[in-house]
Amino acid sequence: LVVEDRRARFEALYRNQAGAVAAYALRRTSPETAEDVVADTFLVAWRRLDRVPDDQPLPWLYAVARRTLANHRRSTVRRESLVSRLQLEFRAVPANPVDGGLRDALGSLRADDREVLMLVAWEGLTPTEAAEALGCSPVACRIRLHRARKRLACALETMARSSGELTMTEAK
Amino acid sequence: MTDALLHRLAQANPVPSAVVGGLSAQLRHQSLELPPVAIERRKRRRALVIAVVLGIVALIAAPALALRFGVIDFSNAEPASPHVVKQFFSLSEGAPKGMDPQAIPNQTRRVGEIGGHTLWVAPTKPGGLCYVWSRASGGCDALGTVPLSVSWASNEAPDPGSSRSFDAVDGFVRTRWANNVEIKLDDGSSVHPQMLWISPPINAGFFFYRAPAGRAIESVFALKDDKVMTADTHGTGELPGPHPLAVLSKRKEIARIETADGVATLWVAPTPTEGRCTWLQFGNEEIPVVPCLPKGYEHQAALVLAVHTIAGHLILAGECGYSAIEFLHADGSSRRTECADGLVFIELNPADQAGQIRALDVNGHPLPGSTGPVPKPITQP
Repeated sequence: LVVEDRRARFEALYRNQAGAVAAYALRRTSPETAEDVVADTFLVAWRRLDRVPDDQPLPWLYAVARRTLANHRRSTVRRESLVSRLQLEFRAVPANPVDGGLRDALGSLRADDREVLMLVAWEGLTPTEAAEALGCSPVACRIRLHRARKRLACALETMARSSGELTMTEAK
Repeated sequence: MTDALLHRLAQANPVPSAVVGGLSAQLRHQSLELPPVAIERRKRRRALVIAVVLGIVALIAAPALALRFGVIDFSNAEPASPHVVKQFFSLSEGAPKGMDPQAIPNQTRRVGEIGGHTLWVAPTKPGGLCYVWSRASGGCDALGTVPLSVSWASNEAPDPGSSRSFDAVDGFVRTRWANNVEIKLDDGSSVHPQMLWISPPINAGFFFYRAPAGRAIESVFALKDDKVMTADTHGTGELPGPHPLAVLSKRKEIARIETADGVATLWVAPTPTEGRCTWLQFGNEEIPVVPCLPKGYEHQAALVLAVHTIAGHLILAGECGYSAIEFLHADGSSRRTECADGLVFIELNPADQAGQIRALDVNGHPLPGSTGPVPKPITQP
């Protein structure tokens, strides 16, 4: 009965949160890698189900997905797969074209700054939830978010300025 | 501007929220291959056993305070409001070089209340704390080495010429050296005030106590297992001598000056709380030089000097948080002496006495604003 309860709870978790975790992964990596990330994230969730918060499981799942993604970048060894036949559906996701300047500015930030911005702007987390996903205190997360916003604005401004200078040089 | 920036970023989401629903619908139909979790369970059982054993060991070894009092978990305490955080930011504003408490204002927490006074505490970068009581005092121990800190308060208007009595005290003790506080009143009675014990990184117990009407507070003692570790006193409760509670068996001679009438010796001795007391001895007489200081504070940038007249000799002694001091003579010459271990101890000649004194940094450059007259001699009784 306990095993059945566990399975039922996990299936509910998967049913309700798999889409968000998949979107999280797809925002950061290729569809192929995203498949692995989702599979590994839910494998961890299955094994550590008692640690997954009942009320707000997403920040916890994002934290696992973030580490899984980092590990995946360090290793191409594919681990045990929990979910099968994901690839086709992932490839069917329509990609939203990101404006080039913003993509470049975002890419110029440090990984930590980029991640806190994406968690808030793309995953829609509050700073407190983002703190849980990042494994830091809410206060530290707010400070990190504040600094990341400033750095992004600064990067955009620098790019705009250099683009302007280039235009003037070309005009000469 | 920045909110607009986040909005722009949200608009650029490569997988918009609207798509997540579709993804969920697709994934819902995936077949799940759930591996067994028995191995993980065994690991967890082993971890549980280890945790229980460690828990028992920790309970046995825990300081008495953890067992006798509830300890407030600082990390889970309520974060302070922006208004309070701003107050903690202001602690560093305008602080002289070397005197900045280095508080971390964004980690300020509201940790509790005593007698209607709310206590906010923030850690400092070097491992200490800053605190503020609502409608009362506050302070900092930047280094985390002050064993007992007491702020004295009185409802009386100051009366020049008479010794003032105090009817309220607040402050803190470090859990490293104390697990209880005792307050002695002017009628000889003692009380143990209500305490707020705070977990790491604060590691301190805070008190706020007001004496009953008509009573004055004389002494505050920091106790560890009923042994007095240090004290702060006022009025008739003053602790005697220049080295109260110092461990005299560990005293060290730092310097000596030979005079025709005997030897003047500069002594230091540790306190039970890792601090240091410094005094001057001439014959059987002990003369205070520097108050007993907590560990690390002896090197704070400061000059606390006095000139002692001992058997006709003028001896400059005191605390020196700089590299050296220099005497500037009226004829344009100068004389320099190094400060050693935060102390200076030198016999003055008439030219030194008539001239000026200034502090020098490690490069031998004068510290701006440090030049002043050499202190007037104190005549020993």
